[in-house]
Amino acid sequence: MRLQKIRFQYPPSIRELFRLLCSAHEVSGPVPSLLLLDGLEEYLLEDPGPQEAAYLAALLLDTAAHFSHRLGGSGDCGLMVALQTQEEADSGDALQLSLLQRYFPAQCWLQPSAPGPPGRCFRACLEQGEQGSRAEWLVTFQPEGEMAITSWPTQTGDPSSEEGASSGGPP
Amino acid sequence: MAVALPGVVEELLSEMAAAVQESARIPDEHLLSLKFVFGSSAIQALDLVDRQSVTLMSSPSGRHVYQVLGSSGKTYTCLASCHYCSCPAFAFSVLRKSDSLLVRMGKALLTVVKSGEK
Repeated sequence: MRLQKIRFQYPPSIRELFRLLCSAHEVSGPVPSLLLLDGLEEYLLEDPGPQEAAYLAALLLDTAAHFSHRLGGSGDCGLMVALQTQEEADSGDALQLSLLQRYFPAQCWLQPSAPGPPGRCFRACLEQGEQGSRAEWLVTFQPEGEMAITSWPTQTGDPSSEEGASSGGPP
Repeated sequence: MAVALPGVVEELLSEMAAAVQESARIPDEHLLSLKFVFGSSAIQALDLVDRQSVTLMSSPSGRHVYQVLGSSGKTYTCLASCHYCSCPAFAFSVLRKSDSLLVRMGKALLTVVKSGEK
């Protein structure tokens, strides 16, 4: 993907984000094939209630669905939302996360893994909803920034693997 | 059940939409099926349709949103393509419960309203 084809926008508040999503259909230019919201946690810091958080999730899905409709037979408009959670979430955060998971059933969790020298390692787990499949990888960033992805070395009956699936820990 | 029901609902709603387009009425057996699946929520949704409280708003670009006039006189917004309504009933009956099917029911009921508008 060429950088010139990416349109960067920086709504400074959840109110501005609502305005952007509600008016996205009026923007001229090519129909996007992917909407990517990075840093959802920044907007949730404004402490929206459950209904406002649900509205944001639903509005993101509605906007992507509208663009998919406009793309017609040439493909769908994808939607990716990145959220960084706290390791020790309070009950309000847990409720908000549970609510968002209902709107976004397919999730990819990134958990810091034991640092393997040299570089930083993450355990990546992709879950396709409650009944869906699950896959895991090891993502390694070398000191010079190079990224390498390898299959997670799971074994049949690996207890740590099962624990990760049920707890759905912080990314 | 949780997996099978949405598929059943989608099929039922498709049949209802086809019946409305063909004969401008919804057969009684379909209404009974709706009541069986959704309980009293189906009656409330159909009552909104009967009272012409649902307005489909479309932008020139083709984006749709439903505006629903509640019994209190307030208007609420329902997103057309997914599961959200700004009414208090949605906040209390859907968002506070963990049953994801209820969110799908919101969409299904919206589709009922949509089919009734035709």
